[in-house]
Amino acid sequence: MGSTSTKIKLRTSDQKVFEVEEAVAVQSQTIKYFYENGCPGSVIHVHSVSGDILSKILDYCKKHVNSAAGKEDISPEELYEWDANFVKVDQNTLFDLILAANCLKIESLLDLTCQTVANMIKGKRPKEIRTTFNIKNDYTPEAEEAVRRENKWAFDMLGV
Amino acid sequence: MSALGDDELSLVLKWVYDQNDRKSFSQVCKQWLRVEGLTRLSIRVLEPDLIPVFLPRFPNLLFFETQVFISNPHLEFVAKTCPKLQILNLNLKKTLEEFEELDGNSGFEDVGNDGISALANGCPNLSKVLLRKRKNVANFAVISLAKLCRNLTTLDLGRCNLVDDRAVEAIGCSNSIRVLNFEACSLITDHGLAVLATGYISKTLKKLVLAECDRITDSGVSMLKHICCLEELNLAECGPKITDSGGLAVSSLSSLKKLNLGWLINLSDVTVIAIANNCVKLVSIDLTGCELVTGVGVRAFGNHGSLEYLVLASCYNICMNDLSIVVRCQSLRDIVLDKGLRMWIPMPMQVHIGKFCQLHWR
Repeated sequence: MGSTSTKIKLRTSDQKVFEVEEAVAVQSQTIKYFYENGCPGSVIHVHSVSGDILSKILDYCKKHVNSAAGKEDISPEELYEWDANFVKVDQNTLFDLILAANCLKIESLLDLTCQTVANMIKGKRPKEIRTTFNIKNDYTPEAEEAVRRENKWAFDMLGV
Repeated sequence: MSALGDDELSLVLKWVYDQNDRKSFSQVCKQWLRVEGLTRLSIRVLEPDLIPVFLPRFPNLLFFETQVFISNPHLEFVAKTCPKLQILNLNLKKTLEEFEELDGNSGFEDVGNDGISALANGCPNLSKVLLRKRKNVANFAVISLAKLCRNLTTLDLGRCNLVDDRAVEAIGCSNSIRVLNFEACSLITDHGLAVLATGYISKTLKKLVLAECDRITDSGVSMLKHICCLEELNLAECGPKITDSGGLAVSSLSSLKKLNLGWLINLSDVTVIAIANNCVKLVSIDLTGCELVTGVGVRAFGNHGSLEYLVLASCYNICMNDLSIVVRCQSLRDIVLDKGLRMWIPMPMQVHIGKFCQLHWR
């Protein structure tokens, strides 16, 4: 058990099949669950993830597994930088990564990608946020004004 | 574009801490407004009249605060809308009288028994309830909190001066309260103290503030020695009916760390010496205005092992030699003296004291 040569087969939403080292695949709590509770050797379907996204996610998992196991000589700073580059992707990809990381339950990747989006929100006005993420404003002018007024006068937030 | 679901959006929002950023977030679109509302845990309300409009956005609040007047119906609405509340801070900035002097707003109905008991019923997880200066809060509110909130650990009733021994009786049955503030609840009598000292609460209470409760006497204070793990006690300005007899009883509370005996004009060196000898864990003592206390008593702290903070403001019977003995206390970090003594203590002595601890004049 736990031998690095053991491979797990994964099938994506667009029917691509990946053969992945066990240690890498089980970074996903979801895959780990299916692997431990399913038939040995069977293919695990990751329905909601496309081949392109899964391939990126596996890169991430491999990097982190190798660095944690000391297989790859990489300092924490270098790994941090690698992560920062990893999330330098277009917005669609970034959102797909969040959705996939959430569904595959890969906590560190979910934190990394969500933090990236959060950083894109910080310091922006609502209008700028809409432009950044191409979000349609579905408020009526009156409703928007009401929310704005409440936010301004009615309450404050304390430390979360 | 791939849209994020509520779940993912709330995970993003977890990393947005600044309140202005969160407010901007909520103004982006309806989904973002909903998600921000569902994930918000704390709020400080500035306009209680708008509560029915905006509060339904925040059903998961744990922390609710407002420093202004709030009506009973509005708090009843809070109780219905936010059942998970754990911390309720209604400490009022100004009292009703102060507001009336300002703008003659005498007809205003601030929260009282109905609002608080609705919260006690609707929010069973309340653990910290602060009601300072809410003058309409009386026994019924306190009894509801004590009976219904099983996790209540902190209750501040400072200046809620309608509260009397009947409320204290209910509090005495609580086995969760650790911090209790009755500042200026001047209807409380020795009977109330006896209830605290003999009820379940005597096993859990760590901090008790009775400042300005001026009906209490030696007989009530003597009961406090049964509160076995009391670490902090404030009896400041409780009046002349507390004498060394009560003081000696206090000195038998060996777990005490912080003690305020300010302006107890009938306490003398007898009490101070007993405290210095028995309260070995004491870190801070305030003897402001204890006129009978002299250098003889204060010297007893010279070999105390843990005292850090000694306040002797408005204590005039202390001389230079007394201070040179007090500073032998190695743990001492700050000493507060009356500014009237300044001219009687030569500069070299002040410099000498300054080597051992910080000297403050008040």
